[in-house]
Amino acid sequence: MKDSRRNLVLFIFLVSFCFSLFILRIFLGSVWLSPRGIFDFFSNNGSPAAFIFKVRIGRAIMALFAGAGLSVAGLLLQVYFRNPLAGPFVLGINSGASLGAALAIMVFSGIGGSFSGGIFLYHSGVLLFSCLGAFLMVVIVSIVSARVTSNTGLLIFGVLVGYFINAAISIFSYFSVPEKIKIYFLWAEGSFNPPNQGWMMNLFVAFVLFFIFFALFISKNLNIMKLGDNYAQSSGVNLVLAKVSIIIPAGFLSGIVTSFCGPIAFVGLFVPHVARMAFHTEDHRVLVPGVVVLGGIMALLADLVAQLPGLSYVLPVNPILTLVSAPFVLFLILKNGRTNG
Amino acid sequence: MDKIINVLSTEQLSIGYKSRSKITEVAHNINISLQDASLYSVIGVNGSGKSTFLKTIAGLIPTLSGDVFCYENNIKNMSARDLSSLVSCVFTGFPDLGLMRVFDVISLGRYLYTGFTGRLSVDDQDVVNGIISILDIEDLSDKYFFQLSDGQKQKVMIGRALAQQSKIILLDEPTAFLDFQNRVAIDLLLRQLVDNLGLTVVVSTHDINNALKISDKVLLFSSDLRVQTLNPKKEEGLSLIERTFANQNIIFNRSDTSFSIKL
Repeated sequence: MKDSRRNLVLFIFLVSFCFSLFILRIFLGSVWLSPRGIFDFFSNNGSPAAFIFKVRIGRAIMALFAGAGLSVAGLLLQVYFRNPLAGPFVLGINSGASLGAALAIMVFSGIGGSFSGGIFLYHSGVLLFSCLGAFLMVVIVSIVSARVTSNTGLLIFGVLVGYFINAAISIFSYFSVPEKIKIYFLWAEGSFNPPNQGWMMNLFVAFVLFFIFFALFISKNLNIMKLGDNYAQSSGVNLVLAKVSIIIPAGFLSGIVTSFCGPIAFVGLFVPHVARMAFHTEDHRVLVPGVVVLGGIMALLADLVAQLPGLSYVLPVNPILTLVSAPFVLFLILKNGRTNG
Repeated sequence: MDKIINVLSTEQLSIGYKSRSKITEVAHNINISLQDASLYSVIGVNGSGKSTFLKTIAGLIPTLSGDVFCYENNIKNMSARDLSSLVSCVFTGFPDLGLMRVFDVISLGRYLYTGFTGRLSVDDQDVVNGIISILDIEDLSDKYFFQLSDGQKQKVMIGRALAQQSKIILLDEPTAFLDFQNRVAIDLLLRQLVDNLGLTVVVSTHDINNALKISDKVLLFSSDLRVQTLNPKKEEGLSLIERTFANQNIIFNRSDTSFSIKL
């Protein structure tokens, strides 16, 4: 009971911290935004400050929900594969999304550089294909994981898939035109830039929220799945239903976030571990809300650092996330190597 | 005299593994019936199908042919939920439970009884606390599972199975990797569950000496795919067990029913 009081205080603190970062993200950036901009935005007077506010708030929302969505996806994948190293990025699910995006941008978007069907159809094509690519990869990894049982084996599979897909994309780009290649690499760099259409961002937020609630809804099953398939089934779990209800939201969350933001490194792997350490628990009724807030914090922080406040450069977010997370993954591998042989 | 209740029985049961190309049968023609409040030890050499048998009667892997009945119901027609209220399991090895505490691990056995949030009712908490006192591990209740010794972990896993409040409990080699003292402690605990709580315990083991002492009946899995139910207190049962396990290095002592090294 002492645990739950401590965790509640921690959770409230983290929510406030997340909220402060969100506000900070709106005002800080390569250009300082005066609070005047907010009034301009709400009075619809079309000043530059109002425009900056609109872009910044969009970016902050995208970062918040992308971070939260990827972290929940990572948590679900770690339960599903019973593997502490699982996450959308390391399992190659992001690579699946990249392949989908590359196909949509470089192969299917009409010959000769012009996008048939207009910008809207093109955007939805990228979203659809990268989401499909991610989902296909989830299916493939599920099949492979039945045969590859070691933690690091699955990781190596993810790396190999990454190489394979990168090779395929290099070949596509060899036959493509510079404009398309540039568009693809802008997507593949990963960013929290909001989509051009406002309703698309609403759709993104709605989807991510839906699957976060879904994950919360199945948290009793997530807890018992920790015991493994045999124990879960003999405790009364309908195993097929339970597994499908874990992998579907995991696939959707990683697919949706990656299609909108590009491949975002390591958040899904890293944040669930931070949450377990911070809340000292394996109870998913605590961990799901925990990773939502911590994932939002991590993405907002990375995006803030990427803006290099005060300087006119804007860095991509992925290198920043990788610099923080990759040493941690190495630490996990070393720790696992000691205990699991 | 009390009526004898068959809690679990098999009819012409054949067990094994099916893969795409071939069927590997590990035991066949199994016709056994397990009675209320009894301890059964499943013994046999490696690969004779002990684990496969336990997983089959737990409904985790399908039968190759034949049927398993639990309280007169064919387990083929039972959901995981229905079966889990009658049969609970302790598998070999320990799952990685990260930062789960002992109380929480045992509480997982209440899965059946809790609502969709998984919150424990007062009754559920009483059941879990009752099990903790039966196992005599009150001092471990708040410890993390990973901090425990193997003997303590095994007690907790048995506690998790007990929390399901099923009449039948199946254990796959629960003493395989325990030291001598802990083996005896677990064996005595199993006997206590049968005598005090009236459970039916089916336990596979390689520790034949202890099995012969604690069991009411022994299920002998032979390398010729046969399964026999033997009484370890009867002469004919013992001679069959002696023929199965004694060899040029191992002698069987009839007077205290134990095997030992021939030097």
